[in-house]
Amino acid sequence: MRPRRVPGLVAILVMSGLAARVCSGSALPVPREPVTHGARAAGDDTTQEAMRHGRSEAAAGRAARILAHYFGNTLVCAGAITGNDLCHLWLNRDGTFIEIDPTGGHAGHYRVGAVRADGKVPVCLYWDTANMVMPRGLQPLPGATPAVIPGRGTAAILCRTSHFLTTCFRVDPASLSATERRMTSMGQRFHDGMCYPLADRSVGAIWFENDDPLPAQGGKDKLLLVPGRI
Amino acid sequence: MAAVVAGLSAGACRAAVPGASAVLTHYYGNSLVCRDEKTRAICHVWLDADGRYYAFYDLGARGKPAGIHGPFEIEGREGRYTLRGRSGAFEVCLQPQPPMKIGAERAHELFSQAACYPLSRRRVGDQWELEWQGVRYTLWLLAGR
Repeated sequence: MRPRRVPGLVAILVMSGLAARVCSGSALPVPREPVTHGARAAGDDTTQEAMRHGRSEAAAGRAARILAHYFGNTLVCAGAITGNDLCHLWLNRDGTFIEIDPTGGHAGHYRVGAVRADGKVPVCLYWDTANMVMPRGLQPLPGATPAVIPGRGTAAILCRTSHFLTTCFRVDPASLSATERRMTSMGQRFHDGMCYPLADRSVGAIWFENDDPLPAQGGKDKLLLVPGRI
Repeated sequence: MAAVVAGLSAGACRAAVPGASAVLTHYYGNSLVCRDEKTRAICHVWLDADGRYYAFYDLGARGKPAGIHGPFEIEGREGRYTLRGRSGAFEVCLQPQPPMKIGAERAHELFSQAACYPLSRRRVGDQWELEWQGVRYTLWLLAGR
């Protein structure tokens, strides 16, 4: 399976049209306002490699157990404050997924990092198609007012992923290179990959996640593990 | 005249039905998008060559926040389809995977129910109009998924 990109679960959709992503290791010569909350211990390639190549069945098995209840069910992401429905994730055991958001369905592949000390497993999502060309009139309504950097206008969002950890920053779009500006689209960001930490949850669970890379509201996302696929 | 193209059912699908893949070839790997011109609900439909399909809906803001059992603004469903045709006109017959009943189905949105829907040969980039059960829809065939 060739890793491509994944849709991040949550609220990123709210920032539709703002985002950007910079490849791991890129320098960002611009002031940054962090979007992501505390960067917790990242996973490494161990589990992913194990799951793909069978090098460590124990590590792979542990990650698979954590994700077990996600398979065949729907992870719903919602605004932490409004509770508005923002995205649905169908994770498949074969390393593929379908993510549904106001822009439609998105097919993709995911990679799984090592289980973290807090028991969560980072899942990095990669959309297959970066930017679908949508006819005029089909654009979803913006879900939120774009963030503004004082004195510099509307912010863009840059995300970078390293070792199964994605962190995002609000930046001044005027300071971005052409390549970086291209990366500010939601589609490109998810095509390049967004990592979300997932914990072992039971079907029917509802919780708030405060270390997603792009929390929708109030610095966190509301998540629901809904039975079945919807 | 009897059906020209029949039974693209689940496993046996296109290869077993000469001409069927020609009708749907540009749909595979791409997105059929529809917009209900009354409710403005939007659907995205994926047809796979193996007889599976997926339909996704954006129904617009719901009256209250989503819970475990909804209501959901965004919905998806999957199932199997068959293709049948008469005299050059084709229908794609959807059989959604039970058991969940989604809001789009309650609203009788296009492609949301176990029913047959008119479909014709299209190319990526095409836009057309369709009236189904008294409701007017605009459809697009867009590249990618």
